[in-house]
Amino acid sequence: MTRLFTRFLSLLAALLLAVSPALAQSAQIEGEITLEAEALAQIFPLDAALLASLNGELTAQQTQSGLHATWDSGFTASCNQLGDGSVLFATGDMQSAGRALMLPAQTQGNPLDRIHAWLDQLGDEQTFANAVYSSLFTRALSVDLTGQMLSPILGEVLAQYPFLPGLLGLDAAAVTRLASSAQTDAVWGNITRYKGDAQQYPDLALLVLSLHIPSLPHMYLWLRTDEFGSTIKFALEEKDVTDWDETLLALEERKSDTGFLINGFTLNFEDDEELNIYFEAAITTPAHALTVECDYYVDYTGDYLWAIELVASEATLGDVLELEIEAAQTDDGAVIPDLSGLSIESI
Amino acid sequence: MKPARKKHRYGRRLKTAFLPCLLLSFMVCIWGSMEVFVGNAANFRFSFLEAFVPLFALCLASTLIAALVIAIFRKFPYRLLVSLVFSLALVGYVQNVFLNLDLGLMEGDGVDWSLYTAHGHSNLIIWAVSLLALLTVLLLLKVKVRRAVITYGSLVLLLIQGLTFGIVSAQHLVSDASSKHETAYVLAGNEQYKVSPNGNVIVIMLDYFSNDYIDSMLKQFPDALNDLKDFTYYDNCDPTYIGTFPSVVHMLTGHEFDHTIPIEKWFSDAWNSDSAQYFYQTLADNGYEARFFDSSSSYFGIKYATPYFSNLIEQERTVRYDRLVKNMLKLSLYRYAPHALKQYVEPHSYDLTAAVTLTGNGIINSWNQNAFYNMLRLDRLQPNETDKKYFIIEFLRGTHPPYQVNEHAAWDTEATLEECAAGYMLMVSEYINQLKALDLYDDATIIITSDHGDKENSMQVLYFIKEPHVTRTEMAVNSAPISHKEFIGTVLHNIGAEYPYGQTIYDFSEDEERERTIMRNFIDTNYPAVPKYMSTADGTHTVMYAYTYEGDRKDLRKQIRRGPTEILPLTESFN
Repeated sequence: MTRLFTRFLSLLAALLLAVSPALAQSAQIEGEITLEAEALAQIFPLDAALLASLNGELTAQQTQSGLHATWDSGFTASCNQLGDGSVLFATGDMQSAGRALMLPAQTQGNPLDRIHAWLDQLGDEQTFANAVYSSLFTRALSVDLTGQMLSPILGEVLAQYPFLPGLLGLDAAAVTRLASSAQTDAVWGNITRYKGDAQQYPDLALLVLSLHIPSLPHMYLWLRTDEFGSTIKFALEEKDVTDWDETLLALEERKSDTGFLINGFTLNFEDDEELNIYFEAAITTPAHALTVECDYYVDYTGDYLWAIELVASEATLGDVLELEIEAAQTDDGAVIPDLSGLSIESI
Repeated sequence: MKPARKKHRYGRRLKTAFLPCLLLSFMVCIWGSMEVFVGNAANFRFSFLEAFVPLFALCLASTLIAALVIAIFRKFPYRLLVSLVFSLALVGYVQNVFLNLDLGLMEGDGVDWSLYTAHGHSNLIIWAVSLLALLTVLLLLKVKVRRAVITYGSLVLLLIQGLTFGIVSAQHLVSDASSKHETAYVLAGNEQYKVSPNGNVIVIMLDYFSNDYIDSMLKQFPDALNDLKDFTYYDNCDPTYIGTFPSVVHMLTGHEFDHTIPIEKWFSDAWNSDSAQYFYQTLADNGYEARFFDSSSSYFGIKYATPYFSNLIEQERTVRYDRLVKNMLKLSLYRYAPHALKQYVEPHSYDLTAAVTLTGNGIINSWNQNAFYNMLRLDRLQPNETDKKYFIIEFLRGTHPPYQVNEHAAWDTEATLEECAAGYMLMVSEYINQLKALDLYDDATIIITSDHGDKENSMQVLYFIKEPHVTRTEMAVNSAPISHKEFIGTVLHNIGAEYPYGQTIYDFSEDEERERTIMRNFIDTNYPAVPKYMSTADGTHTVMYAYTYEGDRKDLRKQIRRGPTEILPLTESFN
């Protein structure tokens, strides 16, 4: 459960950092964090008093060199942009406060373009004058993914994110087994790409990815992009999955044993006026069913730069976390200390 | 003795040739086309029997003639011909059942054959190899064995297809889809360019035209709306339904779609509803004659609207059996032919439509697309000799894909969305300017809108309105949350009448928070297939997705991303 939640926080943080250009601008940030300590303590094996002490107001200053945030309880976190363009975002895994996660804020080009180019090399796309999958798509390409095909990609991901095995609970032996399996032609999954009618929906594409790599949770990704943004459905299931439709339904209805489901979208509105990222995440365990909703806005023309609303709730405990943060542009461009490493001061 | 043996052999050759000839004739003359017919009966103007009888006669005749001719040959030529007929039938059967790509419905737009060149070549190779292999095997077989293979093989394939044909035909004949159309209804275009000298309410409906397209169009053609300076642009208009069906009927009757009843019943209910009767009676009481111009009336259940529109004509139909047979044969050949040859026998829906003509009184269809513009410039709007005022609906193709009109309103199959949008605004400008020239513009109410946007992110529609005697220095913009539920109320408001069944667009203010719901048909595989309207086949869509939102098109897009607020299972699918 904790691993899944930490995994989600990491993903959310990486996504926010990766997509928000407003982080590069000077901003005065204010916010409020509310933790329902008693409820949270029933989910995470943490001290309720510690959690309760984290409630309070958030203020921060963002400049070109980084972000320094302070809660009035005295807890600080830092986010610094390093010389190579990557961002060091320090957050807390509650069980071992002080561990930092290194997350590049910028990828090497658009990862989707790379995926499309890779798919184009693998197979022949079929074109249908009538509809395939739904009434919007007229082209389809389906490829089975073997260990040998995926091993270069896995290697690259592990090189970029060396903390991932730890995050996924893989020890060295498991990583070795994974590497061995990657040399075989066993089928590890399937990726299907649908594209919209070239004249009517030229920017519309749908990727459906299903993976069942040995030693790892089974994964499902449904990613649809069009001229206005993207819609995503991402699921992890700890046990073997043969029917993702049933699994997704179980996750949506919180009937899965242990699973993790994200439904979300990004929306870019006309004339680059506004960016909206919305996520709903459902984390299910035998004991708890936790849901998180996050609404993130970047407004390029309004009074504020960006704003986040995040609500986490548990099926029986109710709301356990509320977060509202808004960033307004400042004129003075104040410079904050450039922290060279991790810096978390807990109370 | 010799002559008797020759006759005996001829008789035997005839008997052997009969079944494969019957098989091939049955496939080409009957089964290939009639299977399509029973699944799409609503799209054909002729009935089952009108098609089956001549095709059956052709099947019998061609079987007999082919068998009689083939039996004249002897020895190797005879063996080759019989084997060839059987092989063609068998490979054609395999092509139809296993090898055909999904080339879609015939919508008059044609298939882009250049996309399938590689497939055509490989398919042709399969044909060549298969035919050669079959012929070789058959010719090498002993006489009795070859005879048995061809006879029983033909019989099996005949039974399979014949039985299936019998079942689907019986299903069709007992269904609503088989109702014979003695008459057909036409929205006659004879007076499409006639306006009233006494006053007009003109609605120009551009199909499939989202308000997002206005923004895209203006980036490339910033002057496209220059002639609309007296108008108010409502940039937050919700069409309520996505799809010409049921949007247009909803707009013109004020009756909401009921997903729980068959479509024909809904058509009847809608046109006979209290709101519809009130609307058209009020128009008549205020001196208005209603006219509806559209080049097709397939989506409206139009026969129920006969009390309302003066140009809705009931026409007797004449079946042109020559065209019917020719095009049904093309349809069959299209299904059985190797892919590379299909383009030479590709049937077009308008050819099959032309198999039934509407006769009498020189009635012509309404003009659409570039033809509408060309005839508008040629004939020009003319005041009619009448004491009535007119309520005119011009339903044009608009930005419905594929785009076939460019910014000059000329035929252009390479036109982009923006060019097509600009072309239709040019038509609108021409219409408006001709009204001005007749001095009939000032007191007219003119609405330019669309029945729906696209199926995805751009569901809202354009909506421009000029009220009587309104003049401005520049177009006004209003972001009030309006919808097509207010269509009838708004029309009646502008002729000075009340509408007790709904509101007008003027009842909503710009800062008002209004909850609206938009609905679209969808293929949701979690729901069972439902029958297609006027057919025995399964329909395309299974549900309607409803999206409830507050705000504008941005908020609607967010709701679309989040998913439907409600899912409504269909009883029948229109497509």
